[in-house]
Amino acid sequence: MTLLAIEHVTMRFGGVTAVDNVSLEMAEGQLLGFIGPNGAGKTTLMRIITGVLRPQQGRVVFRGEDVTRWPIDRRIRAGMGLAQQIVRPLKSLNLTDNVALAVGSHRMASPLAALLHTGRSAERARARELLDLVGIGEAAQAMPGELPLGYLKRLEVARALALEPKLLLLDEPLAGLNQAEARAMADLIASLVGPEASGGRSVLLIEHNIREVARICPEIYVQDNGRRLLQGPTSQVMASPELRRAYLGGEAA
Amino acid sequence: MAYEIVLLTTMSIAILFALSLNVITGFCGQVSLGHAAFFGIGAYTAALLTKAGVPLALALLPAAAMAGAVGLLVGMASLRVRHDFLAITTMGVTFLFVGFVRKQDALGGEVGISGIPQAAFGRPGLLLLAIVCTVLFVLVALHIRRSWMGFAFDSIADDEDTARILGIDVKRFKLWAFVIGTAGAGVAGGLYAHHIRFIGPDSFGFVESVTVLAMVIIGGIGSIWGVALAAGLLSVMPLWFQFVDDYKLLLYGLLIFAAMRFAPDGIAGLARRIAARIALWRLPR
Amino acid sequence: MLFLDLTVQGLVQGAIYALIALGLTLVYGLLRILHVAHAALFTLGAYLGVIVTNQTGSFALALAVAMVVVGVIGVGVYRFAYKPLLDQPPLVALIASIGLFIASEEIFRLVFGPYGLSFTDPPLQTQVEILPGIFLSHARLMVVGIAVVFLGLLGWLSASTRTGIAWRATVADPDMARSFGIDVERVRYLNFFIGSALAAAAGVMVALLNNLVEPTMGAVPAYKALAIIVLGGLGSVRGTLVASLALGVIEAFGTIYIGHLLDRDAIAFAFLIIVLMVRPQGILARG
Repeated sequence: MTLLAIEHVTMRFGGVTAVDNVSLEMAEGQLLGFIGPNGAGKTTLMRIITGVLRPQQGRVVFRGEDVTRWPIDRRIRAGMGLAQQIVRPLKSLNLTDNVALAVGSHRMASPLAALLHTGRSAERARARELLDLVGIGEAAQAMPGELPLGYLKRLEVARALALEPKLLLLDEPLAGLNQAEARAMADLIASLVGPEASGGRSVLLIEHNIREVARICPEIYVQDNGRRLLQGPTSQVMASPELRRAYLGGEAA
Repeated sequence: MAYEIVLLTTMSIAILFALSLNVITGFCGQVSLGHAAFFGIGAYTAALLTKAGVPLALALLPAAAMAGAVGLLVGMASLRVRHDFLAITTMGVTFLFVGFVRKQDALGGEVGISGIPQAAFGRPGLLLLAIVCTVLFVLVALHIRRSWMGFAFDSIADDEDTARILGIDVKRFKLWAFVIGTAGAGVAGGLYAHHIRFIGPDSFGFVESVTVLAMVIIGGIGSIWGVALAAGLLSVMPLWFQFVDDYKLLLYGLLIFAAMRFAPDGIAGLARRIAARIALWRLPR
Repeated sequence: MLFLDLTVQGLVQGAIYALIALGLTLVYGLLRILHVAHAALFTLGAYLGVIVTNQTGSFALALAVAMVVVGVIGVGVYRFAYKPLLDQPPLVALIASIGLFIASEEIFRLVFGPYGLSFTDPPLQTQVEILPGIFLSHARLMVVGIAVVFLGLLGWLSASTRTGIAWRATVADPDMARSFGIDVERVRYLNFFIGSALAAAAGVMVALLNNLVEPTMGAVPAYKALAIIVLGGLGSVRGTLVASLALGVIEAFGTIYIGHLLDRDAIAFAFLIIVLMVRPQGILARG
């Protein structure tokens, strides 16, 4: 069952084509690694999926609906969850409330519904569980401004998880973590999909840390220069000469 | 007794007016330099209705509706601009309102509307009505704070882009803040018209918009009790300063400046800091 | 004929707006503060212009004194009012500035009296025919002249001198400028000096055109100049110039053609709101 379909999407900035006629499909329950060298247009494609950017050509179909013209918040309500590469915590709320807000996002589907709901204790309890899950439970009462980047990266992930998305979009969640932390985070990501995880969640994982991507993702999509380079089972992709060429650069290689 | 009633009515109306702006600016983080326009819309609506024989308590409803409806329009326009652009756009709303009213004979033009009838049961009746409206609005504000709407407002005031990533429909929440806030200002304006019993375009200008914003900021942006306290104090300050009549505005201006210079987080922030210091002092050493 | 006359009047008014609004743009570009009290400096400049002219008989001397004194006071405003507030949210500085403005209007009233001052012998009142059938006083011509000269000077200063380059670098990115060894603090002082001096020049010229200065004469420019810099795209010098002239002309035409619906200030803000609905970042957006 197709969850997300990107169909012939092109995005230009001035004279530069950042994403060039890219198509990509994701199935329910899939964990797809998304790699490519710097400047490959990874973040641009991610922004097209979430709705920060509107492509000049092509469409984005999510759960059977054409969402190309939808604003971000509507896509989130429809079942996307995003952990951004550049962390954006709500600075005036502590970590628990940052996550609790996401846990209760269905309560804010309309302003009227939001006005009629009070009480946050259930959401806060769930938020603390999620903070424990990503390994920063001890900072639950801290304010984001007091914490180092590693904590805030995990806060992004916890917040995205709290939305209970059908499609979890992770933009470099391992960046800024040390090796042991990165490994733990990758294990956590791997545990989000698969048979023991709840109902058909999919994850699209953008990462520079190819080692961890290769370790946890059964399938990898590679983009280079805004174009789709290849896609397939991890072992096949990792062994392919095109990948080597893309990363080592130059036509000569 | 009569003097105290006037004083209390003035305070009550100012508190309602300031708390209504606090919903927009304090809760939702949308700066408005044009709130007096909605106060004015409420005042004109209520005054015209009571002059036509409608009892004041009933006239306040259309006053709120009218101000809220225009607030919805202004809110929709404001969705296109952010931050300082928003502040100046809303400032423009005040000038548009005053400039429009000045030229309308039906609204009394430059001269304004005089001979506005008294509220039922005279001044004590008006005071009672003002207190009821203010208390109701305080309850509404307290409820918003506790509700998920308040939680959503917190996130929008903090960072709109992040609020969107949490699935919050930022535009609709902002519009609700505008409508609730401007409708509250409309009620305050309706009460004011029957307090002063004469209104003209100059009663709702930029200075009034700034004054009410100053009340919110000096009270401590977002804090219901701080804003209520600041509004109560600042509104009667001109009356207290009568003894220095000539220096009244000078003192007022300097006070606003000094408040920002030395307590930029307002009365609420000052109270928090003092409380923290006392707590520290009480700790066993 | 009316068309041309209104355009010329509008451009003269626009030149005055430009002189006032430019200082405001400079402050905003550098510090992100909406400097309402700028208009108090404009009023002070007007008072000094009238007083010095009446005492010495020299209008040129009065203009120079007003610009220098007000420039120095502008630096003082930055040092004592804004500098301590730079770490606060911008709203705090805005409200502080409004408080300062209200207080200074009162100071003018207390010091110079509530009824205003006039030139005992107003200079530059001769009328000249600049286009067939269109007359302007020397004073109005001088307004345009001063605006052109000072703005040209400013343009040259910022484009071709070391100070100007340091200035633009600071506006673009203060931290970067600091790391290049630019004394950011000095740039800010200079910025306030120039902006305030220009406001004083505008004040003197308005005093001359109306032959009257009064405590509240800064009120309307205070708000309108804010509208202008927002229209111009906040912090864009060129945008501010375009917006000043456009607003001057629109007001001149507006008061004739829709004056029965809205007064002059409302027309200015109606224009502002319409423009912002179409271009939320102002006429010439920065960057």
